[in-house]
Amino acid sequence: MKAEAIISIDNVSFSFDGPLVLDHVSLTVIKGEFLGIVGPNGGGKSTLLKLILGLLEPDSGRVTVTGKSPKRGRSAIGYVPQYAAFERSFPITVEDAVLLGLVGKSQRVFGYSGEDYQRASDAFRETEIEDLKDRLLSTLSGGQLQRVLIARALVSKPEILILDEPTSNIDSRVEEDIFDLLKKLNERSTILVVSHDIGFISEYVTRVACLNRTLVCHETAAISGKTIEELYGSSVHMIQHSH
Amino acid sequence: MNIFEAIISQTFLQHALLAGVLAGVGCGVMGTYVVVKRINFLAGGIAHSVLAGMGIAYFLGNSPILGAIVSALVAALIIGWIKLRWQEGEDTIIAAVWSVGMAIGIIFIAKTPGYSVDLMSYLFGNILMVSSSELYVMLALDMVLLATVAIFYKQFLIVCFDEEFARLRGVNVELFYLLLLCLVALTVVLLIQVVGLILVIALLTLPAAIAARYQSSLKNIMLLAMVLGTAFTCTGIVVSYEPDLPAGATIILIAGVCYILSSVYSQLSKARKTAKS
Repeated sequence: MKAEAIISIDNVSFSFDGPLVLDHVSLTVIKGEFLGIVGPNGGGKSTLLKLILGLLEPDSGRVTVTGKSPKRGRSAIGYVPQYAAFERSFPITVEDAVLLGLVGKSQRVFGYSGEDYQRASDAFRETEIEDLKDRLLSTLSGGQLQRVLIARALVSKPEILILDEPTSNIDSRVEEDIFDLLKKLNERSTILVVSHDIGFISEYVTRVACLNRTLVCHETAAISGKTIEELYGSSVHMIQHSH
Repeated sequence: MNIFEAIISQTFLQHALLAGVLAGVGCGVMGTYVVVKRINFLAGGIAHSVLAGMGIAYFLGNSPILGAIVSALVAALIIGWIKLRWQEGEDTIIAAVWSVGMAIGIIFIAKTPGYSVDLMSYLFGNILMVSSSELYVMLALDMVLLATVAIFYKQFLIVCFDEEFARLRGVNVELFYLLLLCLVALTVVLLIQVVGLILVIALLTLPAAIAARYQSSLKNIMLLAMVLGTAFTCTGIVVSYEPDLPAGATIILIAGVCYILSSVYSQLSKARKTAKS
């Protein structure tokens, strides 16, 4: 089977009216892979995601999603934002929050159809949050909230799942559960995960890209100490994860 | 004649109570959005700048309520458009629209020839003088609010909850944000009839803020806020009648006291919970 590009980033540069955040970055996401993007804070990871999602426009270069411009291709993406990206005290139940993942996908402008509820309950089952359905979002733990956000991304049956720091606010045992779930979802979707946790992510992903303004490395093998040095500077030590 | 005999025999009191109910419905629905989206200050800007439209309408000899509707919508669109364009200058711009709107209104009212209008009734409401044609306008405004919110419930929900995600799901965030502000503007006009433009903000936000403590979904907060809003306006009218107090101010005081009591109550029950555990 020929490797098929599902997202392609071609020579992209970007700045917020200042120094370049991304400097001639090229990266191809292959259909079906589980790609991890790692790098230090401020290294441009979230910016790269926003370019893929069409929320920002590159200064130069080109991004395509399923062969289309990001704005047109992004309906194929299920997006899981960073933990703190929204108001947690917002009065909304888990079920309502997940159903919102169908806005724009559902045939109905007004309310939801039986098929919509079916899709939502499939997503609850897959992410194992059936018993949280009627809970308020503000009462959930970090790990539970993460599952809800994944369910919200899954209801639209996306070809690509993009997660921004999915484990930044949860403890390491739950972190492992989340990655096991992603591994399972990878059987039918392409997955792109942004993380600062280099050691851990490399056990799950099929490929890692290291980003710090430029793409420092881009390899299939586990990350070596030398790459870490290149990426973060020599003072950082790789933490051994034992799972 | 006590208040209850008066309600049966006096049309102006019946009108006042009807206006109170119509205002309660509007403030329950839209106040909930104002509270969860945290746009109190923005709603305040719209409310005060409405004086411009009322003043101009009065100067031209038109109905002040129509002037209020037009200027509320214009203020909402200006503030909304500027906010979407330049995120950071929001406070200053709202404050500018707020006071420039009032200034325009005051100048037009001052320059209107003939018998001078009672400025106080615009500022603090004249619920005991609501005419039946104004009641029809209020009813129409309520219908527009309820219908729009019912049709676009999930679009408004996603825009309030998570704008970025809404954009990714193909929702026209700018359009729905402006539409939401326009509905808030119409609600402001609705409430001005009852409490006047200075006190609008309290009636718009307090019922929803109290309801948000006891209800968890947006829909239920709206329903409880409608009940509370209606209860505040009607109680205010009844309480103010015999001692001849200004009705608008009485309504706001009742709402304010209830808000404080509910805050104290929820603090106490929170403290009890933590003491137990």
